[in-house]
Amino acid sequence: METLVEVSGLSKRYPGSSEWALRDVSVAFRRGEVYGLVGQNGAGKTTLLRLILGLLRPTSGKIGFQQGVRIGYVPERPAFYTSFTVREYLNLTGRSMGIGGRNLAGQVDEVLATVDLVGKANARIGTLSRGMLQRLGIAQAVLGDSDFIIMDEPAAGLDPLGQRGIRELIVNINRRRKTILFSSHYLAEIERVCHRVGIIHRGRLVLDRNLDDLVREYRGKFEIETDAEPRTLERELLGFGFQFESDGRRVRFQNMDDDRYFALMRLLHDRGIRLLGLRHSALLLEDTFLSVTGSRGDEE
Amino acid sequence: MRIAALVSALWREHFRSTVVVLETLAVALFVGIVLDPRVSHEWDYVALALNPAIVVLAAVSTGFIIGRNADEKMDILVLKAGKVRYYLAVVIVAILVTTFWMTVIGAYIHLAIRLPNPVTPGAPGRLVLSLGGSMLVVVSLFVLFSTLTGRPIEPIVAVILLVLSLGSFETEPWRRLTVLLPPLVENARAAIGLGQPQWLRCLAYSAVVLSLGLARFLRREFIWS
Repeated sequence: METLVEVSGLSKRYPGSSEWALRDVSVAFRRGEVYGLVGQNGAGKTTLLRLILGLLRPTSGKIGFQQGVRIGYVPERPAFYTSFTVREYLNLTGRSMGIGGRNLAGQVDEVLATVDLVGKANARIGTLSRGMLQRLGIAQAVLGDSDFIIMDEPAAGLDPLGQRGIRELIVNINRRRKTILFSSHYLAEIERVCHRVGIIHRGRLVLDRNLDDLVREYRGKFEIETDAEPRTLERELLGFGFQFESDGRRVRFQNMDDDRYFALMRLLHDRGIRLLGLRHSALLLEDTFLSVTGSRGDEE
Repeated sequence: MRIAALVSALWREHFRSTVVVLETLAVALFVGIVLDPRVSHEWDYVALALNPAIVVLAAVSTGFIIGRNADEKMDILVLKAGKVRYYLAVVIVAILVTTFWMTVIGAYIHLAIRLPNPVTPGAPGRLVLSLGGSMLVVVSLFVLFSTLTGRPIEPIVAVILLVLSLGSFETEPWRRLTVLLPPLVENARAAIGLGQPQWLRCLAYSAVVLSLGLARFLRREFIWS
């Protein structure tokens, strides 16, 4: 897959601050992928996005762009001219890019349809709801056939329906081979739409993996709780060659494929051991996030 | 086309805002008090009165335009149009808005003010050049010192510059300092026939100041919290 944007050794320290907002980050963004950037507040997500856009100057490092790549941006809190209508604003952004005439009118109609704002084309921006404003933000980013779209927390502050709408938009846009880089706090959202995920923690990119690889690796990990006496259970499991870690009633398994998983279930059933709990890959990204950042729930 | 689109949008946005009400009030007060139509005024009085008016109008218009646009709304437009185009668009709009209000005042003077004596040939041209030059200089300074170009420069520096420009430095070496000062007083004097409008110096001064502003703008960090 061709690389559209490549970040090498990027670091940023804000004027007057002794701390690094971003430290030695290297990552490449490829055509047609959806890249999810996860991190706590203040981890450096927005800093990375704004450095790529040129809205901030790096302290060190490089950012390389494929020639002619067109970049669109959806800020975390898009700010618009509230006295403008939706169409007026999109016309303004289009003309600012050098698109004019009938070509512009056609493109505006197309992006309005993409983000489902056709009915609000002549509405004043000041009358739009939060979700509609977010979609307008996406519309202006997509306008001009942008290749690489950067979204800073596009679903922040939206209700579940609004969040789903944004997710569907991202998938829709990506289907046209557009690269999307978006930051989010909503791990479930990242899991649902991304091809790759990056975790930023205290300014460093601590993880940069394909989501499929993470899922494959994680599916083999789960934890069970039973009513069996711990030593008895351990003896049984060792007898069948299972590899595990135990802390009393909870037993954790790694690298379990489907065959071994079913063998375990059969064993428990045959021995009359009751399964009290099973914790599986539904918490994939949350567990991964917590493990790479070393965070506990009570730390922040 | 890109700059024209931005200029058109910023102009529209300005005249749709409540700020224009304040500007209208300011202009109305000025003409009502200083250019009372019930009294006849000499040309020199009118020309002299317009000089501080243009300084105030240029400062106020530029301040309002930058205050309403130099925020998160800039991010998207700067990325779409480019930093240089956006900067130029803001400067052009500030000049156009000031010119608009001066035109309104000029129309009022033409229609409502009685001048008891005929105007000297060339006087209106001198006045236009003086006012135009002063307007350019004030807009440039306010752009350079504003939040548009980054962290605002201490306003006291602007005040010092303006106060110094009111003085006269005719002895060496202080005369060399005058190149750093906006020629506002010289323009006011030229408007009433005491000297020539310093339009070339104003043009050069504005070009330098706007270039400094552009350099700051290009280097600035777009941080909003």
